[in-house]
Amino acid sequence: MLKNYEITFIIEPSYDEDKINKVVGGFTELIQSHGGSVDRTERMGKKRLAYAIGKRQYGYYVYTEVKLPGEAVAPLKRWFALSEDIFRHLVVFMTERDIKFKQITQEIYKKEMEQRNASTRPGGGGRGTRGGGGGGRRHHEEKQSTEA
Amino acid sequence: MAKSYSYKKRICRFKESGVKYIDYMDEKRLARFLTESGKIIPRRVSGTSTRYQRMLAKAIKRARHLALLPYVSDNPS
Repeated sequence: MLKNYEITFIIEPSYDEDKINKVVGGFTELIQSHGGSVDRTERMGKKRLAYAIGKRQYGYYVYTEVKLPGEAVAPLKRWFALSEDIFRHLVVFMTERDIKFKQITQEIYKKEMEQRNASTRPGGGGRGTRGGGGGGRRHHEEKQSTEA
Repeated sequence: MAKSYSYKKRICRFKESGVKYIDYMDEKRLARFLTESGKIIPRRVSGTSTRYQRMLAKAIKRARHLALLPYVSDNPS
């Protein structure tokens, strides 16, 4: 039976378009060879890692939604582990309920965004809406040491 | 007299907004539930309901694995 998974993996940041295509292609092929299908592939591009992974500061993120028989997950993970192009991956099993709730949630977020945009524009205050949720990170003033 | 705490009723912002699923890819929204050092803010502070705190914690941990959020960060910038 096919189950729904969300699979995200991070490819070496130094790779060019060609190489990335090859890696993603290899992934898609592997899924299909196990009788699954890749329903959605989202290349999120090069992003800065929150912490260094093996001296890498950046990574190329690829997010996919996949249908896959459960038995295929173990070999898939092995493939990830052996791959030299991919240094981090995450496989998340999604229940039907998760998928439904995720959809509902995304709609709510969308509505919120629209409301926020609508309310800021005429006000002219602009920029006030917690600028993309950089929340929690206050800017720290540096203490100046007075040197003689 | 400055030390009188007001017991303001905290509201779970997920329940409030009707959000049902907390996405681990959404690091900006998750970051609001982390302290500056990268710890998960306890529900005693944030007011998140048990159910959503559990979901939140899981999402944060997944995001950490994907290096979207830090495990520790000692210099908030």
